[in-house]
Amino acid sequence: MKATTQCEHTEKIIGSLLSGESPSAVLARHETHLAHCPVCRTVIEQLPGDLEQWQNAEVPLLPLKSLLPQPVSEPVHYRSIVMRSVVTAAAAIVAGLLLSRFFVPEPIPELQNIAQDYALLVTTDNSFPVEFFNE
Amino acid sequence: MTDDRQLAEALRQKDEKAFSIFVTRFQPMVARVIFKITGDMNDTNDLTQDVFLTVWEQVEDFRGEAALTTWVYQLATNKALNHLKWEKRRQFFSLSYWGSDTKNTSLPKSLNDAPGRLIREDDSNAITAALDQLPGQQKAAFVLSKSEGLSNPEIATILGLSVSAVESLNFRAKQNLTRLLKTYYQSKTT
Ligand SMILES: [Zn+2]
Repeated sequence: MKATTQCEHTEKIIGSLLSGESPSAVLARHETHLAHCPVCRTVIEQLPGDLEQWQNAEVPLLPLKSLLPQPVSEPVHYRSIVMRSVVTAAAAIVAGLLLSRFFVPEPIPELQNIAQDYALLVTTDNSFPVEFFNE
Repeated sequence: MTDDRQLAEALRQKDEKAFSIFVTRFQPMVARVIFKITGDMNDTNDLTQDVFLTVWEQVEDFRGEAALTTWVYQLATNKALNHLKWEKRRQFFSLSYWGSDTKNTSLPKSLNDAPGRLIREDDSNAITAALDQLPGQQKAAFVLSKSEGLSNPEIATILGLSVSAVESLNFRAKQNLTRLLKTYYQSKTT
């Protein structure tokens, strides 16, 4: 284990920075120590930036319309919209599958007649060339 | 309609124009506080909507003597804290809680392990990751103090606690963050 991991200055430096003390003031107070302690140097180099970035983090805002009172008093939850679309899409696929499974097309009269004629021909006339239909 | 009292009165009258002024003025603050407490953008959007719906429906509950800002902070903080409680319970009962090492109290090296948590897309922000390990109230006190710049008496009103309780929360938050950040920066140095 490195000696620096036991440094008792680290917590003091972090504490001062978290309390809002300026990095330059902290730097000045611990100058001698910082010259030879890599852990405390990492803290002074990175923590002020991390803190500032966290404090100034911008949060994307929702469109005004989605926050105004709705005619229905239910809030429009973004995730509900996504879930609803997913459920609708899934329902559409299931319905499609069911339809394709059970849907029997209406017989078309002309085709039915041709089929009947063909059946009659095949069963009554043995000389009928079957290949004719296969072309 | 720049005065808070006027705005609150117009909201009580269910004036929709006043409500859009109100939303425009307060949305950045509401979203920011909720996001910094929950750390999740999806939750932030849902809870922000909840806050404004509550304002619209319960504006009669707003007592004129408190600042409108304080009341909105209160709604946002409470919704975020309730959500964290609910989320914690949900995680406890989910299977992954028992199968993974998420109970590990040290600061995660990779902060990418929670889908939907936009702020963790890079692991560069140690504060966010360290705050995530803190109990809800400590987190809320730290956010309201260090990000929103509120005083301890203001935070006490928002959290419904005594000023000394807030001082204690801030003290413990700082203590825990210091410990977590120390581990984090040590691991970055070695
Ligand atoms: Zn040191």
